[in-house]
Amino acid sequence: MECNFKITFPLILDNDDSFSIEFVSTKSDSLEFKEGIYYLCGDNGSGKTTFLNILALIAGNIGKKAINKGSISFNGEAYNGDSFNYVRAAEIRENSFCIFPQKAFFLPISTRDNYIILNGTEKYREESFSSQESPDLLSGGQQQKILMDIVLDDKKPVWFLDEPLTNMDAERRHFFWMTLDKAHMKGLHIIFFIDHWLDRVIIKDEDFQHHGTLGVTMKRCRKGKYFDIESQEIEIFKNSSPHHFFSRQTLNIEKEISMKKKGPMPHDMYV
Amino acid sequence: MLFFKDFRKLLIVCLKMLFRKTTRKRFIFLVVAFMLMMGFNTYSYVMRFHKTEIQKRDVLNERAFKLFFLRTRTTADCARFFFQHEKRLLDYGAEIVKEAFIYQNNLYIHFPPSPEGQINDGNRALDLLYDLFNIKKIGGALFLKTRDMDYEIKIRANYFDHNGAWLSDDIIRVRHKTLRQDLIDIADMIREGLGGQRLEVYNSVKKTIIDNIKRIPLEENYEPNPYLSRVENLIPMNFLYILTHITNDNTTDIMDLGESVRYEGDNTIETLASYTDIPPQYMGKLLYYDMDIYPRYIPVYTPNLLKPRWNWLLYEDIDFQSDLMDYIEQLHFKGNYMFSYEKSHIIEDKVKKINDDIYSNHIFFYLTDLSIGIAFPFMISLFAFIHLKTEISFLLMFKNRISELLFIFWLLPVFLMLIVKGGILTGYLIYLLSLGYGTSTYIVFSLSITFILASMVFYPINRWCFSQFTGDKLNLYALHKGR
Repeated sequence: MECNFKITFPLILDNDDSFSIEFVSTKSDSLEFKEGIYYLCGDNGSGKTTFLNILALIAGNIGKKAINKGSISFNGEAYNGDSFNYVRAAEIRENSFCIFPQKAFFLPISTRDNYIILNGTEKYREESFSSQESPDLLSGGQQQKILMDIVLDDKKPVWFLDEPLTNMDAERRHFFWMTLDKAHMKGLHIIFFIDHWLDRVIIKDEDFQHHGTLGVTMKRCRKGKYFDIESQEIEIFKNSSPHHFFSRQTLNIEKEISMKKKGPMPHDMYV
Repeated sequence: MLFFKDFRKLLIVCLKMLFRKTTRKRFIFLVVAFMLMMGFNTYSYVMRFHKTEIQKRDVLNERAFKLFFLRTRTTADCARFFFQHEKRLLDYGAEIVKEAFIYQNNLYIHFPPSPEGQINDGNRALDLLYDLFNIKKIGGALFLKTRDMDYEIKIRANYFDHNGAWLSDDIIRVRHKTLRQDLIDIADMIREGLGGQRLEVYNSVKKTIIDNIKRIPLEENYEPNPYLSRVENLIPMNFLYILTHITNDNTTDIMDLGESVRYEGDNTIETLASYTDIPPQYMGKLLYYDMDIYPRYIPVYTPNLLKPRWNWLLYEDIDFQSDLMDYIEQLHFKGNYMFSYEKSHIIEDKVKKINDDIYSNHIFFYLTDLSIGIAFPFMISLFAFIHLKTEISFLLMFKNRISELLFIFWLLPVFLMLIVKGGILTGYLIYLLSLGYGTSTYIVFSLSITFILASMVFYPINRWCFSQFTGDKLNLYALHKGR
């Protein structure tokens, strides 16, 4: 199944007239996301997560009341279309999107029940989760690990990964890249990826091309007057066939693990 | 699909989240307050409903409220009354009972010679009189042989006490003396125009009957109906029939006529069976209307004066046929006084009070129950939204479960209401069945309608509480962060 996003700029997200964030493309009025991995590179607070949230249908205006001048369409279906509503948004999220949030969060039930409620697509996988263990009581890294197991679903064609490697040890990072690679071989088409530690690697990687630059303007206003306007940029890098990249990452981590067994830790674990 | 395979899981998750340690006490307090308020309110309604139902049933079943005695002053007045008002009363569904009248506080009534009501051919008015004055039971003591068994019949020379249970012997004696005098007067009027040997026979029979007539006291434990307790004695009109037949029977020779009524030593009278029957000239007419025994009170049977009435506020009260009552009261002011005038006021007062009680009970219940049934579920929904928005928004990032969640948070208070109302209703119906009262099914309507209405009104309110998940402004990320 082909998957694509088409974005017409400017995209505006406003919050009760007190805060608004506007995305524009510096090259052209539109931007397209097709097969491949897209890496979003930018400073803290530059709006990367917000941009992903709008794409992933967990923030923003939808339907005919959406006041955006620009628009997003997923597989030809515009988010600001007349018949588009919260139910349709939820259907798309459930069927097509896999969202890995910045911070691990769980429902206050066992990990198995979390899997059943949040994913539950594969019956045999239920057994691999504990019915006694409550994920709330685990450490940050363990939670990240469990959440990854629960929500990453290779049947969904679009993944939004917001700093998934934070708090992860080498083995888990290895597992993550393996999982990405496997999923990409199966049904995964588009990956949006945010991570602060990979910036240098991505920029230097030959397989990644610069896909576009988003100009982000954030306005905070009080009593109808803008009192704070801040501009930032997000660079987007694209890799259309990321298999080699995933393999390299996997190999690097395998080396790291073997070195760790032999001697001291490398200075830069990602290189 | 609403009830997807993991619906039960989702329901349990929602309950677990509501009952988690941080919110448990507040949520339990809210639920308990809701159930107690709704429970007390419903219980109070059911108790008042029960009370008014008993009162309503008592009034509707009170047979004395289906009967009025209206006074006529003279023979001409009596005939005129019958002529003028019979049709009008029939139009109101009422009828004049021809087989009885009250004279000097004594009820003169046709006693049926055969057992229990076979003689009156389904005459409901006469049936009511027999029932009210216990005649079906005491009537058996009057006739010793029925006409079916013999050409002749034996009857006791008795009349029946109706309200003399606690009276002194002196008063009873005076009453007896007065009654005898009344009977002599009546007999004299029946005799009018009779002469010769037939007169001698007549006088002899008259003396035999009236001299020997004896009072039968009230049965033990029998209490007269309070609305008819002014009636002192019940006089079988059959004694007057015998005298009338003696007067009119000119087909029998004087010897046979003299033998036609024989008094036996044991206080019984043996006579022709036909002599205890209504004389032919009075068939279908007011009995002895042509005699000057006044003031005379004629019974008017009003079966439709009080009827149960369905009300669209979903309850049943009493329909009072006020036009008939007004008509009867008009007759009263035209001189046809009622034997028990206060009874009409008692009926009006009772009906008004019961109807007011029923109305106010239902209105109060509808208003309070709907208020509680909407306000508390609204609070529960709001509570759920405030405390679970983070979890719900997180869940919605992965699954399209908004319909199920809305249904769960609608169902939760509705189910609590169902438990309270269903429990109290079931308890009440079991209580009624155990007492053998039958079931007052109307209470099911009022409880159901408030339940359905509250559930329906709460549906959009519940949606409104969770509107942040159902609008055109997606906000899951911010809600998930607790904003």
